[in-house]
Amino acid sequence: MAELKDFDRISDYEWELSKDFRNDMRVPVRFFASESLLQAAMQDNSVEQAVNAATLPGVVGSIAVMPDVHQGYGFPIGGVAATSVSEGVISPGGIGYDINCGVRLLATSIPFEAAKPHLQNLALALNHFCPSGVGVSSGSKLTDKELRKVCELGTHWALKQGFASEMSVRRTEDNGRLTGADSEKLSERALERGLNQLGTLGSGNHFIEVDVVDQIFSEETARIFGLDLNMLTVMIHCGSRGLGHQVCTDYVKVFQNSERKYGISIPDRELVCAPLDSTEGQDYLAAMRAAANFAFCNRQMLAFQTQKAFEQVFAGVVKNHSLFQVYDVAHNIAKIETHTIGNQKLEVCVHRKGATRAFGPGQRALPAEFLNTGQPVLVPGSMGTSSWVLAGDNLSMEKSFGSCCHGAGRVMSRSKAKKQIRGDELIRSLARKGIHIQAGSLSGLAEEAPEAYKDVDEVIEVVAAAGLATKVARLRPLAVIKG
Amino acid sequence: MSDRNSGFRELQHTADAAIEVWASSVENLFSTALSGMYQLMGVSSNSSRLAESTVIQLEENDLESLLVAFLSECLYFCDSKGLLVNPTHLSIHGNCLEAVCQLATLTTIEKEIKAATYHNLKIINNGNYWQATIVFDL
Repeated sequence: MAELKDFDRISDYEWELSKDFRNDMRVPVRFFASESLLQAAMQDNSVEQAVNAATLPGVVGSIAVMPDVHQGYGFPIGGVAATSVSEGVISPGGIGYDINCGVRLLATSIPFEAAKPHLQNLALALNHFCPSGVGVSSGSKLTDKELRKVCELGTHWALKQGFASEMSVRRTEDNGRLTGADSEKLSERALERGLNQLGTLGSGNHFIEVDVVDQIFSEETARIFGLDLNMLTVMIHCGSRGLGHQVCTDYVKVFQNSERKYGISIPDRELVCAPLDSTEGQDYLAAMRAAANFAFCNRQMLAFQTQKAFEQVFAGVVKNHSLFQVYDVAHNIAKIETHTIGNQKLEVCVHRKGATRAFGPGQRALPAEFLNTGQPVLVPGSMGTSSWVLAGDNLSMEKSFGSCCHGAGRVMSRSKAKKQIRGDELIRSLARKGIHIQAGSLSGLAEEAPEAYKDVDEVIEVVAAAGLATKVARLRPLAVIKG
Repeated sequence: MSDRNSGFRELQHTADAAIEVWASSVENLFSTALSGMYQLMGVSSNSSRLAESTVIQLEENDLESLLVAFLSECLYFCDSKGLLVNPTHLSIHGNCLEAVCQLATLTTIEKEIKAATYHNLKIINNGNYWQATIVFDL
């Protein structure tokens, strides 16, 4: 497969694999990485999977690969591919099974020093109020009719029910509602799986994390985002649960016939796709949007429950404390957006799989308060290490279809992590650093140990140096709730 | 249903999970793949709380799709109904599968598998030897 000599070094942080590298590539692949991170990406199948993505019919510009890349299935995690709406395809594999897996950040007016004696209680309260773990259901079951409304209205359903504020809706990507969602395009099974999972965290790498703002890089932008030094924040990372998984499963199956029907040739069956203007393509787009709306609403419900946990712990302890939303971003999704390719404006379907939208200042999709700053880009680190808040930069519009990294990125397999790291020792080690852990599974916790991930600070240096986003604040973890 | 010529092993994968499965028949390959998936998930059931039985019938375009569909079916039973599928009789003819299964109530599960994927999936058959590598999304 690819070696370092196959890449053109554009700068210290950008590398290009030309489309001549393999004869079925339609566009080049652009890696955003330091040399060491690029070397790390060549240790697994990330490069081959990015090259495979470059063969999709109608793909335009170049495949953008983020510094937190690692191999996935079909598409690399940390990959961005844009396909022409008029001549291109949509691929469920370029979005993933956890449709609209994403991150929400809440800020507070609670100083770390005041909260410090109560962090253990806070972790317990969050664990109590926010159902987490494998197979865990929410306390209440939706009716089929209400679930369909959730899928079509997203966060606006929560607003109508009193579970969300105008501010939290406004400060969610696409206002927490993708238009064009159609619950009629969901299978009975997808709906069945969603009935009792709204407001649940799930397991794996999903988490709720309490942090403290420990460094600010841009005072003005941090102020606009609502971030103050030494104040507590809360990060919620989860997606569309079983409903989204079922949507992807259903449409990967439907699309298996597209190869023959539309004469599409792909190097990996997990990259199956259908023309965007085909019935199958439009059906999937509508179903994917419905699952994405479910995920927006899921994070909203968890934020609502988080508020309850804070009330329980801090009522009477910290005067006039408030908890409010900074932003909510999706990092497994496809969006129809307009981008400039060459000198031409083109409507494209941007597949972001393990990549965060990073729109810069002036973009119409942003709420008024972020028009001058660019959108908040939320990048959780590994458990026990820093997380970051960045601001989208307009260079990302030129270089990566308005996209940035989504995390630290794994380097160690889960099985190896489990062999090398014991969950109970990890809890003790994190406790010594002042980090409280509530975990449903010790082996699951070991899989998510910091050693299994890249250095998030190095990842952030790359995206900042490449101009995809600018640093705003760094967050230090205090308590982590995992399923 | 697996015999002594069947088995599976976990392969290294950066973020997700993969198993290599082998067996002396295609039917055993499928049931061993299910055992491997369940082991990855760390599931257990209470045999004294057996639920009902069911018959799974599937038809796909090829064997790989049939394997993905079978494992997806079992994931659905687990996630949506809290049931583990234990095939007591499994037959495959062409690209059609019929499995008579005992259903058991799930008691513990350590890890969620979102899906069985098609990534690099190919079922290889050399006489009495069947082999496949399956990547799961975690």
